[in-house]
Amino acid sequence: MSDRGKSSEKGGELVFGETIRVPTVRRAIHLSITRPLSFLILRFPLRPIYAQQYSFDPLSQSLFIIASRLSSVNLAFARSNSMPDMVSIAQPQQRQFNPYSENGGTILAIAGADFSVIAGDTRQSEGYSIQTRYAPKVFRLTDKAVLAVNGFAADGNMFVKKVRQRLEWYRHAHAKDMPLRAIARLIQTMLYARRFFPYYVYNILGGIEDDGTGAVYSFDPVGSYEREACRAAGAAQSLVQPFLDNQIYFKNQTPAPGTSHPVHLPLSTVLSLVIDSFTSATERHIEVGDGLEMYVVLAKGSASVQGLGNIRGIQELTATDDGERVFVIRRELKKD
Amino acid sequence: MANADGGAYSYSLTVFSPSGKLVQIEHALAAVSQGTTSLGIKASNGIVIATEKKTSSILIDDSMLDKVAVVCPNIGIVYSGMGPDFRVLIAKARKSAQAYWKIYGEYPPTRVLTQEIATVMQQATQSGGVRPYGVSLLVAGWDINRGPTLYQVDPSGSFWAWKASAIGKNMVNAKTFLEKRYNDDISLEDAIHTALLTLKEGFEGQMTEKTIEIGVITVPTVTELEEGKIGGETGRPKPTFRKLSEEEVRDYLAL
Amino acid sequence: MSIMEYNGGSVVAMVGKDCVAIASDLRLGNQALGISSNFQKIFPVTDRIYLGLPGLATDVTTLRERFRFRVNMYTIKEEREIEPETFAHLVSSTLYEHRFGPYFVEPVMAGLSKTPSGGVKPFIAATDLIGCLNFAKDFVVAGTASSKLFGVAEGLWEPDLEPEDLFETISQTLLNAVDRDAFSGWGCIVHVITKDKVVTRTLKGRMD
Repeated sequence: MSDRGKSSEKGGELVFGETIRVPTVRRAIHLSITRPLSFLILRFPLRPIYAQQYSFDPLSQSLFIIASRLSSVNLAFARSNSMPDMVSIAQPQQRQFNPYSENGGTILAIAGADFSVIAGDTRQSEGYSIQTRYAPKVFRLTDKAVLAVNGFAADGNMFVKKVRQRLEWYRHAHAKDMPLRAIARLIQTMLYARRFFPYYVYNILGGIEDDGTGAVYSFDPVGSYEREACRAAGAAQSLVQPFLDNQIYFKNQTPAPGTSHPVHLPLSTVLSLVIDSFTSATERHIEVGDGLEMYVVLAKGSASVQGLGNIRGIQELTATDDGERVFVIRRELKKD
Repeated sequence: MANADGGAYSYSLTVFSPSGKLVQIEHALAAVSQGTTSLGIKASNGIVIATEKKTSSILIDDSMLDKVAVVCPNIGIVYSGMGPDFRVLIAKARKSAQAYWKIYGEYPPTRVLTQEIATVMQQATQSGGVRPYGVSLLVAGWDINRGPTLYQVDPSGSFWAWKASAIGKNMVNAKTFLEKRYNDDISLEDAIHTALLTLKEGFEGQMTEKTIEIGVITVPTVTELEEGKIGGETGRPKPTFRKLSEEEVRDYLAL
Repeated sequence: MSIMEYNGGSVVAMVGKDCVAIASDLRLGNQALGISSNFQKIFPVTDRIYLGLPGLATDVTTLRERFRFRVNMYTIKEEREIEPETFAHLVSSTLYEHRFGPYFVEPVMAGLSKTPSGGVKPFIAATDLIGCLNFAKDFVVAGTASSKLFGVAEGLWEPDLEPEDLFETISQTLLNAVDRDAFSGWGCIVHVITKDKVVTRTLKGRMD
């Protein structure tokens, strides 16, 4: 009897809906009819009925847990009411709902001098199951902005939808497309707005800035962001990013005497690096493969357009005339 | 009684006689020299080991009798002396070969396996409650390191490499015969015939495929080796030692 | 926390044309704290075989001695040097002996084996901590930066690299992989093994 009332406690803290022994509950409820509520308070320290336990750490991608509500206790009580008065039948009950999952895949973006390449594979998986071999992760937002989303696909799709809605409103209010840096800030705001129930998504935004330069912005799930020349995210980030460090930033490479490394690479080089990155990631990571979509955004009047003509299966997605131009290139990846 | 030959020392395995001999080992050698003759000849491209198989009664099904035994794909052994002792040694040798395979992923070189067997036999000369093994062995094997090698192991646990040797009842005559017939460039085919001829000297009864057992080592060619020592999907190396079938023995006898 | 992250460290080995290379970082850490920038994890086994042991430092040292013992015994008993394939099996069986209380290392081997026709054949292999062998034809990686090493190696490696090109490839692979790994780095060492000689170079790397 001495542990009565403590059975629902763990480490001195009450975890809600976890353990309440039946005899105790029954007596408490019985007594609550005849005695003041304060008695109950003595036995069970009161907590808010909708108490939820949060555990979220955006960096370690740890999952979100909502502790069950009082209803589980009530259920346990109702069921046991018709049963013999035995301690053993009252089992601890815990209910959990995990609103997140992880759908694999990898995205990648590289900025050039006057262009930007944003790519992603098209496999969508959950655990060891492939849900579909074609689920786009890269989306054209405007003629100058392309957004790649990776992580929890449902959140990703909804997030893109909401960003597009905000861009539409912007067009109605300002009669022009939102500038890239503004989209980046918008995305931060939208992500941080959900600081305590985040979109479980890593975003990479690529496109052309107002000054005509290629740009890449990368985000964490709660809106921390940075402009970079290249970024990989997702399942194969750890495979691809060091390769990009070496091939884009020329890390650990010394230029020949009297020469220097180029600051921006030509589009053809960037495209082959992207393809190499994804074939490599496909080779070694089970969640990467099936298809590759590479979006190319060209600045107004970019000379890189010449090189695009002879690329197999290239498709133009540009909506307006004499502005930035958007293309998509699709490639097959291994399906095993 | 004890004074009949080795004196009081003859019963204690581990006590030297004043002349420096372990008499039990001498007795074990005597047991070997009562066994049927076995011999081995190393040829330029292989090795042959052969033995006479004698049954005490015509009623015994001699197809069940094995005097030449495969230890692992590259090593075979023939014996003279006590059959049961040989059986035990073969079991230990096979176990040892498999233990080696488990560690190194390949079968032991002939010398290493021979040494293992010799160690087992030596321990039987120095341990309490046991007697020496009453067998001499001829171990024929091939390995990448030393190529084809032929070893003889005696009950004392000592072993030597031979070009050709004989053990058992007729060993003295057989060795003299081999000394006359042996040369370094003898081919395996010739060696098999020489082996049969040597056995014929002092063979009791009819020499047939039922009364002869032959095992051969064939040296793999470089191309065979390049194809890999692991034999394809089975993961087993292609055997370099094999016993000749009765048909093959009959064919050799007919020539 | 993974036990591999207790001390950190990574090793990679690659096949070239009639040559092999094996390289490691030089860090010894205590979780996030760096202890030494000169911790050897690659050891010569014979003139032609090198063994890399990334993992728990105490096991690295113990296993190094264990393999030294077992290879010496082999050499004396068999009167010959151990071949890389045989050594790989020795490593595998030694680790599997401790199947239910393993050494926390992921060995990587590189060497040249003799062919029956008298030439040499490049050989690399790796095992997990309980000795499951992986005979790769291109490259093997191990340690805390293994996923990064896989990514870079898969992008940089190509068949039939000459010794100098192989050196550049393995060096770039290792340096860029460990730069993205907090538990590896603090300098690198690279061994390129050819028929005639072994070239060993120490590389400077980021010290953060």
